[in-house]
Amino acid sequence: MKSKLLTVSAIIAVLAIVLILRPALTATPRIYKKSEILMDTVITLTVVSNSEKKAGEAIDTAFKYLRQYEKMLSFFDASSEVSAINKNAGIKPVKVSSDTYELTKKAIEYAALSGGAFDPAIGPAMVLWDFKNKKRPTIEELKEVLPLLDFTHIALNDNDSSVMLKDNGMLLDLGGIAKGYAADKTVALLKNIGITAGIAAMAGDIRVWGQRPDGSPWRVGIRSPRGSNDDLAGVLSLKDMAVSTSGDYERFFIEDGVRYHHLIVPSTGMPARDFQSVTVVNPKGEVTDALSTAVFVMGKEKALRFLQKTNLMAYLIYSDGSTFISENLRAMLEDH
Amino acid sequence: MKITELIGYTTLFDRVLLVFLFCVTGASIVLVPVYLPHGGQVRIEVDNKLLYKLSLSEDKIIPIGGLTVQIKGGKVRVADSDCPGKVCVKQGWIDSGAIICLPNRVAITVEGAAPAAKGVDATT
Repeated sequence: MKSKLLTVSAIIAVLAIVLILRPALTATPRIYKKSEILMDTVITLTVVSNSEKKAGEAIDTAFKYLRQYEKMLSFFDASSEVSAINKNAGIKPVKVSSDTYELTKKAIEYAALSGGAFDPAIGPAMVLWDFKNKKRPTIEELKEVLPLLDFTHIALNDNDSSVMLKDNGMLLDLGGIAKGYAADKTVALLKNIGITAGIAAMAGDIRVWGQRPDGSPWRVGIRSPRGSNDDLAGVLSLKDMAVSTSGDYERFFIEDGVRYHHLIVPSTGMPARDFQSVTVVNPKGEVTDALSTAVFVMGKEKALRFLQKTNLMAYLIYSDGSTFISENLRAMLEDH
Repeated sequence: MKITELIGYTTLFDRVLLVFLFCVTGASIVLVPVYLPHGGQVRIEVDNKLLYKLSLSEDKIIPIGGLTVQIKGGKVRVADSDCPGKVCVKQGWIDSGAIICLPNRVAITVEGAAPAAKGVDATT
């Protein structure tokens, strides 16, 4: 009788412990998100993990990296490496960190690939535009800086990782590629510390890896350029891909019915006119960031030729609201 | 009455019950805080620096610079803001995820796992 009771009580005790342990034993992966304001925008990191603690630590590590990254590459921070390069334009080369050097090198490569439509030497024109205070430069002011917008005058030295802007007054601006590149680096870092799925969203420059906890692909909406923030032009189902959109609605002002936005043509210093938005999809964030800007700036005809030549996946919304979706992107676009 | 005397009065059933309750209590103390979601906490950061960590279960109105943050009924919202677009105000009440006011550099985040998105996971 005694031993029977003991057995029963032991079984009950074990069952009780198993019941309490259940959440841990059957812990299913969940989504954890955190946003910070960095690089003049909102950065949201999403990770899939079965541990809140692990997710939090991973996200904190990634944000720590991104804060350092911002310090190196900021166009506006006087203590950044990019500012050091700019202060020494026409004077001397500046030795920089491997990240800054690598990114400058990549920026020049994409500038060459796009025939200068994407130009990391766009800085002198960009500083003349003040979208916050709705101020645009005069034609004379623009004419004066146009000769400085030339990426071929950025000299790199692999031996000592130094960068030199050859002409006095040149300004390096890596803003058109830095966020996509940061997304790539962030994903590599998070993968390295064991996070198998998530999203690194540097505002509109997004890279996804792995899949949602239910096994389905990540869903990334393409913003409708003339709608509210929540209106979507389409939804992409993505797995291990990056996507960037360059849109004329991001930084702009309207004067006398004309929209002046931040996607500036290096040959004129004026905003590009053929598109409302250009979305590019590619496995690499550096590609989508740089080339969405490039395609936007190229204008319609050159853009279509470029897409064909490079086989780039793209969703174009023209200035009249009509769209072009490249054949190779259609399978990733929902309801198409 | 001494404890040994007290034990002497117990039946075998009492002892089994005691052992059982002891197991359950012990396991709960150790495991519940580890594995159950903490939930109900909201972090308010300005310039990426943590300013407040508050419980969502306590109704409150907190002015932060040009913003007024309100916690009520387990949810949080930006009730008012001096920023131009007022995107943060338009977002309304949330009980998961985050509200960001870029002009004021304020991030309000509800801690814990986010529910699976009904719509999209991100927007480009």
